[in-house]
Amino acid sequence: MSLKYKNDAAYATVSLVGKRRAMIEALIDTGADISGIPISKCVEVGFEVEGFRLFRGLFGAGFLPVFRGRVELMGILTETAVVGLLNEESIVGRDLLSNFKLSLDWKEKKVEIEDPQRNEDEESI
Amino acid sequence: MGRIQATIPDELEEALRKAMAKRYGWRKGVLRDVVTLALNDWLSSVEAVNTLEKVLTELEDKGVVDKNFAKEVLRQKEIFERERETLEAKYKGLVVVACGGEFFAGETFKEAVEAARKKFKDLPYYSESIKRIDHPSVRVRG
Repeated sequence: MSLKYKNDAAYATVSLVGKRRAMIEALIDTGADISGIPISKCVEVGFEVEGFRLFRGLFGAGFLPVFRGRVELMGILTETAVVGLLNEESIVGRDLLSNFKLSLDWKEKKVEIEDPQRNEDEESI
Repeated sequence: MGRIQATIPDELEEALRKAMAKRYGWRKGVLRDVVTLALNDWLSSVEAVNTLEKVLTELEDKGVVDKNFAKEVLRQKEIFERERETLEAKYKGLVVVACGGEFFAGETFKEAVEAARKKFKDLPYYSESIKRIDHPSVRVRG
């Protein structure tokens, strides 16, 4: 499946499944060790805060809440911890990406994501 | 320069003098440098707890977290700060979660959190990675 390519970056559509549901567009960020969702969105779908973490970036550090909820990417629903971000950007980090095979062809501006497990299952049918 | 006089336990003084001599030798001004370093470290840890308290209060006002949650996170942060030196030496490059007064380390945040949740199901935690960047591309408000 091809991911959306805009502003020289890849984006995936992600479903947040809490007490309520919401769909968001999230930046694929292989540098992030954990996915991040705006705090406002986490609250809106009813994700619960479970802890706090000091997050270090190259341009500073800050304390941010960690929410627990279910996130669906490529039809795979994962219960996971996500960091609550202060801005309105969402990112998909390695915690979710590690379930998939990601192929990057920046020259052709094409990013493919697939679930190797699902492909194996389909081949064996 | 200010002048501070304090009384400390004999054992602590003995350990301090031995460690100073071993590390810096017997030169003038070592005690002043070591005390300044220790006080600066302590002030930084207090500052960090104060900053966290401020963020928690903001989220409490918005109804995102409640008072008990905030109190427990601050308690874990203080425990983390008390053990910071040991944690930084032992878990360099790993993610550490402080929960229920204990520490859980992992290669990833997920690993460390899962270990904490296995022992203390829903207890709020405080976490930091030790000397590594978590979100290189994201500007995090300091």
